[in-house]
Amino acid sequence: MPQFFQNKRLIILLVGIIILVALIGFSLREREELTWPEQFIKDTAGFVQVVFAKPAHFIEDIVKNARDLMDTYEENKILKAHLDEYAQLKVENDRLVKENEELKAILGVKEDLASMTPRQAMVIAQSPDRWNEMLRIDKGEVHGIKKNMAVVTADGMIGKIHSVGKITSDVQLLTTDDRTNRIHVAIQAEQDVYGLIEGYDEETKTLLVKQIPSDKKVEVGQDVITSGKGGVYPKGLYIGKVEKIEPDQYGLTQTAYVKPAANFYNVEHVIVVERNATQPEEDLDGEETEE
Amino acid sequence: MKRKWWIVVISIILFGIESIFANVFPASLFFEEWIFVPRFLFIFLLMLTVYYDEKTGLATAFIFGLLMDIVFTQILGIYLFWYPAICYVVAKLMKVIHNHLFIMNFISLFAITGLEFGIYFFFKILQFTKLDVTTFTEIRLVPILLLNFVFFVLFSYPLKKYFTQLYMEKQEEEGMFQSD
Repeated sequence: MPQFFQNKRLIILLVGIIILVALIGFSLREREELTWPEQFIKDTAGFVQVVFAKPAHFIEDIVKNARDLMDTYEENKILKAHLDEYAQLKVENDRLVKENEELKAILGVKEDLASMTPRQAMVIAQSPDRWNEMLRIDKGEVHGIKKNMAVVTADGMIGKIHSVGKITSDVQLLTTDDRTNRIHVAIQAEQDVYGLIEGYDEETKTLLVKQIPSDKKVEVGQDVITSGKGGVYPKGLYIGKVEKIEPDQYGLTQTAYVKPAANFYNVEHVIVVERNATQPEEDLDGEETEE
Repeated sequence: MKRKWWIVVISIILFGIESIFANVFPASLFFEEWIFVPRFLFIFLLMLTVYYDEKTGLATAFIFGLLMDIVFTQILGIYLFWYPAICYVVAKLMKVIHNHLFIMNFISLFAITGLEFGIYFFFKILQFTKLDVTTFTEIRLVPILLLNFVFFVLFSYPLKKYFTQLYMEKQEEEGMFQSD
């Protein structure tokens, strides 16, 4: 026994394992905020990452532009065909926006679920091992970013703010398999049909929208947007199109497989969207996202 | 004289490259399911430990493991454990077998395999992934080994040269003190 304790290496190993387990346990807790050393290191790393992200994005742009040039002719043809349609849509859109504003003024409504404040941000890093899908952006607390804000690209929603540092923050992608990653969505059928995004199917590369009542009819190709009723995200952020519908195990609800519209990789710029409508109480808010 | 400080600079450069890699790498040119993960920093750490100095290597591995955990994994202890642990094993192993760059290449690939399985194992017991071993090998291990093999072939020779020179300098310095 005394010889056992003389073995310095063994003791170091044992203490090391204890510290390791403690550390893992510490970081697995549900944490509202990061500890300050973590924040400090993250922000410092953010500086380095910006330095590398800028030239990387620059080179990527050049390559992309060159590739775009090659199929300009084909694209131009299609765009021309859409142009006439576009003018008409724009006129109609303007008219509807004006009408909507007037009606709101009459009713005295200032903010609805759809009103939001957008903030632009650049992607400075992406977790290289891709076990937890995570983007880092170059905007943080000082720019007014808060936890749980929605993050979108030009194509559609890609995720939410997971943790905020002073000048950088982390975005959790929709594809992350996380218990707290639930989003209340509306499928735009004749009448809006509501469901919850509950996870991501790796094989078909689709989001699973569950809890759709079985008496509601959903069709393939219908658009899916955020409903704004979960209390966290604004209404009307585009998510994707329904690709497949399946009845649930017990036939009480249906599951829709939704193809996300946004590309989660090779994202350069994102928009962080703040919901303007009043949010429910803080604790209530937490429960709602988890359910 | 202060050639030693390049260790820090190169580590930071490799860390920066790794952090933007997944965002700009055109993975769609290959099979869609394949996941390419750069382990350039890890290869650098391995060579540092084997060719220069074990203590410096392990300390650097420890620091950058912690950095990876804080910035990316958000679970402290995963890279923090595996980076130094594998560097240590490889350093001990290379003292026993013939030290040639070609063999080092094989050992590095084994080390990366070990690292991948180690991290997979941690995520599996923490129930962060549902991936089974076969799929893991197909979509992760194979492309990762390919990518890092290319990196190794391109950069191992200059890196080895640099570390050997550093090692010689250190030996000379120590020798100087001994003769005094």
